[in-house]
Order: sequence, then structure tokens, then C-alpha cells
Amino acid sequence: VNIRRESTSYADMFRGIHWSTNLTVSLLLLVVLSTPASAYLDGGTGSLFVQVVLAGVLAGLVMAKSVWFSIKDGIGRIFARRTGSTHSDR
Amino acid sequence: MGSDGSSRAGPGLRIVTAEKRLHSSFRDPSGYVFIRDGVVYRHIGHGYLPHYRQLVESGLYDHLVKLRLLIPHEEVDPGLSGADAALVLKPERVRTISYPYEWSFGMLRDAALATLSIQRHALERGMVLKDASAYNIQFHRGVPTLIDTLSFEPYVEGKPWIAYRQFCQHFVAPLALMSLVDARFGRSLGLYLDGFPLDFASRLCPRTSWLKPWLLVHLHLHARAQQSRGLHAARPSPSVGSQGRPGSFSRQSLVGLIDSLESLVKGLRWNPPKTTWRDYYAETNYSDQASEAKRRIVRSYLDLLGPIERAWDLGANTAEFSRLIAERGVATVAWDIDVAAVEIAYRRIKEQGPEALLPLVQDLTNPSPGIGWALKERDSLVDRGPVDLVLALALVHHLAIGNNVPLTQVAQHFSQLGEYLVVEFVPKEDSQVQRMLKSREDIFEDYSRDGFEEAFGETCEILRRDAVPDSERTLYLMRRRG
Repeated sequence: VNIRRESTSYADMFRGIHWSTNLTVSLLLLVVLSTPASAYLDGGTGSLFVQVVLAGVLAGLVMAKSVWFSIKDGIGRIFARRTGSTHSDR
Repeated sequence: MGSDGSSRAGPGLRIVTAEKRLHSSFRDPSGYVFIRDGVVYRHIGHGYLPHYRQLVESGLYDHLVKLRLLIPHEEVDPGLSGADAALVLKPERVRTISYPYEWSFGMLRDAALATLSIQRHALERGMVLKDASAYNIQFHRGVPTLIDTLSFEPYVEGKPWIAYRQFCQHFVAPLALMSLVDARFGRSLGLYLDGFPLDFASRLCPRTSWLKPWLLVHLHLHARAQQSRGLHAARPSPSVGSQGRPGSFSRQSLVGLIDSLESLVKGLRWNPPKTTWRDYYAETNYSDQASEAKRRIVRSYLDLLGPIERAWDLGANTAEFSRLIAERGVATVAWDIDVAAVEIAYRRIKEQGPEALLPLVQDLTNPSPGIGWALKERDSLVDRGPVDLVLALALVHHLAIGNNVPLTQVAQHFSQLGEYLVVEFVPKEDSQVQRMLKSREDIFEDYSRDGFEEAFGETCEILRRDAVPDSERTLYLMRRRG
């Protein structure tokens, strides 16, 4: 009963937003706000909301960065191998 | 008195001395800081013990201490706490407590980057920071260091960062204002103990700040989301839940959040403009000979004093003279009203040391008061003293003539701050004072060398008096009476 009530309450905050997104964010905030006993800080609903909204973008950027670094590393390794072969030729 | 905080009053009778709990240590139920016999301890409650164990066993504690990001401690007898403690820690003592509203731009920026670095290292070992208060950072041995060992909790997959709001209010908003509007905004952090309100900062920042993508998100849109409590200001992006698990704030998202905040903080810059004080040493009427003579006299006073532990240089400018004290290993604070001078001093200390020197912003005509809950959460300037030595060079005329403070009151206040005083008297004949009197009536009849000695003579014993060669000025070494 409590869970349903909280879920409804968070859903109310996002009235006007598409119902599927609304449900997703509500369920996530439910998880987010049921924090362990040690969390004494108020994360702020608006602040948690911003993070939830940005989640995909932030993760995407990390992935893009990781891909970029592996490409850079790969190129670096090719050049290193060439330099290495030059040394062995000597 | 035993080093374990107890004393023996007679055979078999053990009296445990009372602990004094710090007024600022009450928000987090995980534990608190207390002082017993002048030693600082941290009480850890039973509820927090598993988290503390994880901090240590994961290797995070050792790693952060090695990087000088976390204050080192030793575990001591839990009986030292008056309450039922699971553990008691004895952290390394921070010699000078300072507050974010006394830091220059670069200091707050470095504290922000240290916080993010700690969060990143914590995440790598399955933990996160459960708070991101700027007050948890202290400049310890010259570098920003987390002093709250209980700031860690286990990372739970899918959860956003609970301290994100606090980080933005304590670091992002003031740094943006200091960088984009005016570096003196740092001082206003004293008005808002839980950080600068985001909506207020958003309104004060220039329109061009909306063009910085991460500032747009973490300050402007964040402020609007806070105002509308997440109602309609920021529409959920279709990308929410695109990472396989619907609606999850994945670990990768959290790493991305840290990356974006780090990128934002690194992108905020401020370089000290040319100000009166910054160029003081270049533009003053002091000749090189007089300046060198002044150094020699100050050094001779320090030799006379012998070993001391703490010193404050009031009106220190870019900390040229504070350096003479700090180089002897004395924990020295270089206080100055000018944020540019403090920033220059901080940058130089970062490059060259000495680590015992800490530059801080302070308006001596309106010094940091006790603030926060019951006015005791953050100590006033006076409460953080007295120190062994107060240095006040070329300062008295600014207080007496620039701010109309009678010399007797200057003497009383200095004596309240330190046991030994090194004070420079600048007479009316000096061109600096002449310049100050140019635009106002000279109502300072008592402002003379005799008047100075009479005023300070009421509270201090004058030990040495030396004329600074090639100038009209005199240096005094004094000791507070009683």
C-alpha cells in the first residue's frame, strides 16, 4: 500500500509528461529515495530528477570517451610498433 | 594526565575527563567529533561501523591517504568517548581550521576538484561520498584534504548521487559567480551555510553563461528543476532508460556525472586583476634597502622568540613576510582582505611551498563571526585564536585612519589575537598616510609614535623598538601583559 502511495505521489510531480516516461522516472525515484539508514542528506527531488533525466546522456558520453581513447590507444600502438621495428632494425 | 584522556586522582581511582563535542558536528548520525585534553577524536557509532570497515578493507582509505586526499587517523581506545562508541579515531590534527568563505577562487576550485577526485576513487572501490560539503575540506599541509572520514557509504547500483545538490550549491554556484561575475562572491558563502542557492546564482550569472553546456545543465536547469520540484522545467529525455535497464542511473551515468562536473569546474577560471594590493610591493615607496632591513628586523625578532607553533600575519598582502615565519615550520596564516593577493599567495605556495603557510581572505574591520546553528557551528576569527605571534606590518594606519579605530582598541584587539605582537607603525609623515589624509580631514590627533606606544603600552610590554632604515617607519616587538 505504501509503495503504491509513494509511486502515485512522485507520479503527481510529473503530471503532463508522457505516462511511460512518467512511470519510469517515478519508479526510479522510488528506488532512489528509499536510501540506506546512513544517508542523512536530503538529495533534493529536483536534483535527483536532473540526474535521472541526464542519465542516458552522461552514460553515452562516458562510452564515447572510452571508444575515443581505445581508438587513440590503437593508433598509438601501431606507431609504437613501427618505432619498435625501426629500433630492432638497428 | 594520561595521554589516553584520563587522569589518576589516587590509587585505584580513575577519573575520566569530560569530552567536549564540537558544535559543528551534529548533522550526521554516523558519528561526531569531540575534544578531550586538547586532542581531537572522532566517535563512530555502531550503525556506521560496517561502512567504515568497507572503507578500510577495500583499500580506499590507504589509497586516499597516500594521495593526500583524506586525513590520516589511528584507531584508539573506544572508551575515550563518553558515549557508546563502536570505534574512536584519532585523526591527524589540522593546525588551522578555515572556511570556504575565507578561501580564494583557486582554493575553492581545488577543493571542488579534490572532492570529485575522492568520489571517483571511492566509486572504483564500491563506495560513494554521501555528502559533498565544502566544510568537509580543509587545507592540511598545503593541500585540500577531506577531514570527514565518515563521508563514505556503499555504492548502490542504479542510484544517483545523493550529494549532487550539495556539490552544486557548495562548489558549482560560488565558483561560477566568482569566475564570471566577481571573485569577491566567495565571501557571501558565509551567508548560506549549505551552499549558494542555485536559483539565486543562476539569476546573477551573465546570460553568456547559458552557452556553457555543463553550466547550463548543472546550474541553470538544475536551479529550475529545484524550483519546480521536478515538475515541468526539465522534460525527461528519451534517453532515460536507454542503458538496458529501464530508468537506471547506471554506474556509467555516475562516472559521466563526475566527468561533467570536473569538466565544468576545470573550465571555470579566474586570474587576479591588477589591484592596489597586488602591486603593493612593486608600487610602495619602500626602497629595496628599507624592505631588506625590515626583513632583517623581523627575522631577528623571530630569533628572539624561539620556538613557536602558530602565527597570524594580519594584512599579509601576498604573504611575503608570512613566508619568513612559515619557513621555520610555524603554522602561519596570511590573512588579507584582497582576494587577488590571497590568490597570488596561494598559487605561489602551491608551486614553492612552504606547506605551513595558509593564505586566507579576511576583512579585519569586519572579521569572520561565529555563524550557523546557535552561532557556534563555524568559529569566529577570535575563537580560532589566540596564536603565539601576530604580525601586523603596515596595517595600523589602515585601521586607525582608514577605519577610524582608536589606537587603544587596535592594541586591545591585537592582544586578544596573540601573545607576541610584531607591529609596524607608519607615521603621518609617511607618503602612504599622506595619501590617505589627502581626501579627508585629519581628526587623528593621537596618531603619533608617542600615541602608539601609549596605546599599546596599556596592554603590552614593548620588548624591542627598531627604526626601519631609509624610511619613517618603526617596528615593535611586544608581549601581551598577563
